[in-house]
Amino acid sequence: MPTSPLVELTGVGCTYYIRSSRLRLRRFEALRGIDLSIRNGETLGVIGQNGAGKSTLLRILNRILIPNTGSIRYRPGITTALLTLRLGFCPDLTGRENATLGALYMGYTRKEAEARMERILTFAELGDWINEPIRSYSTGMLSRLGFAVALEMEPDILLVDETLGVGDAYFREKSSAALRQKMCGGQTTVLVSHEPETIRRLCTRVIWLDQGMVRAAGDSGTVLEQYHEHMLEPRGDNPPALLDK
Amino acid sequence: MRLASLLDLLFYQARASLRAEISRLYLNFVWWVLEPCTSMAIYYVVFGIFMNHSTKHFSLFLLIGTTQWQWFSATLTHSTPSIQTASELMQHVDIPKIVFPLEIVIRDGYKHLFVLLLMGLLLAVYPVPVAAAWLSLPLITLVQGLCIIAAAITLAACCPFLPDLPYIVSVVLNVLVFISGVFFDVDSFVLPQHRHILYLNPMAGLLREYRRVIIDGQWPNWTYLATVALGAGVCLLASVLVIKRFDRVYPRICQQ
Repeated sequence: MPTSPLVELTGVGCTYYIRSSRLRLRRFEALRGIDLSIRNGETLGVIGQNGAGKSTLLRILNRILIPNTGSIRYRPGITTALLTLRLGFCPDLTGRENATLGALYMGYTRKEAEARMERILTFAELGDWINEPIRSYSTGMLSRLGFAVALEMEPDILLVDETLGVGDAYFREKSSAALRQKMCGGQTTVLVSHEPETIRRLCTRVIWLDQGMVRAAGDSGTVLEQYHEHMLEPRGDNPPALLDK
Repeated sequence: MRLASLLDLLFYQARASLRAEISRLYLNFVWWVLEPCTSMAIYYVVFGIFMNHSTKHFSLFLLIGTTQWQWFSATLTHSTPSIQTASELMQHVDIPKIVFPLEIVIRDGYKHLFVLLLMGLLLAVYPVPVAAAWLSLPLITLVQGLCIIAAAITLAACCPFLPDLPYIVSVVLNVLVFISGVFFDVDSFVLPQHRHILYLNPMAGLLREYRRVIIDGQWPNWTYLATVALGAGVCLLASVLVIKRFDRVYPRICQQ
């Protein structure tokens, strides 16, 4: 497997400020001193408790947030995308219009979006519903459409936050299989998941985030075992600390 | 995001939002015309009949004022909170934040185009003589468009840092409607020593130019138009730089 890093994070920290009242700002250190590199073709798993900083890490990798401290270096021309269901969807538009809109938000031109439409519609299997406003869709139908659009993303680094399978049992299996196939087909992926089995099956390397810091990193078997032991320890699970600014 | 994708997204999103808006309302796009016409009717009754302060071709005078004001006021009101409203979307996709106010500008621009078409039809039957100066109308519209884009992007860029801004804009627009000459002629009703203060507001000057061209059949004041265009251009450039500078700060600010 090629090992040249596509992106390198050095000492990355990210702080959120939360307005708890009119003049009072409190801060929350979502990430602290993260060193990480992502290599071409690998599937990197990210595990950790709620509030550990997993989603913030994905947002930083996706260039949505800039870190407060440290540096992040991308190999020139590298594109990233967070697998997001229902990107920019509007309830009053039809499924087809929303699919086009979702593809446009991903950065495709109208022509490119329309070229992908047949594949999206076939995957979503929504039949005549595709021409109806999505406000009339069930949650499952919305997930089908959202997933079919999201699957069309073709970034250099795909970021996945818990969204492996959606919809009913049949579509859940179909969507998980499609995503697994994408990951195993050489797509560089960062996968956040709370399911150890999924991480073990799909990821070559895992990092464990705890209170915004890397607690352990390495091959999936070792890190998952450490994480599992930690989760079995009796402890008071406190949410991350809020500090005065 | 590539420029071609950005433009496709802007125009598709604007048209989709309009379609969505129309589908929700019983009178759909009739409202786009009804809104300025209702204001015009109210001003006509209050100022033209009750207060007997009408001027030459008063109904056309008011129609010009209310339609152009509606375009300015609606775009600014809608675009001010546009970045904040897109907070959820911003957390998922790396998109230039200028898209959000620009989409509003295009959306309200489409509505105004529709109103202008109807106004053009009205002008064809209205008893004012057709003049060569009417050829300058697209240029005045273009200058007004430039002012609107500059103001819309500036307000949208500032709003995430100043969450009260939509209320401030609403109050300021309420004040401006009274001092922009929407329903009165600044040159006839305002003392000469105060007129220049009112004309610091470009909307007051642009309304004067529209009326000079449409009602009086005279060419606009080119120096004034050039000055307003230059000012708006500088403001637009500054606002684009600001919004670009804070492009990756907005997702964090909007989460506070």
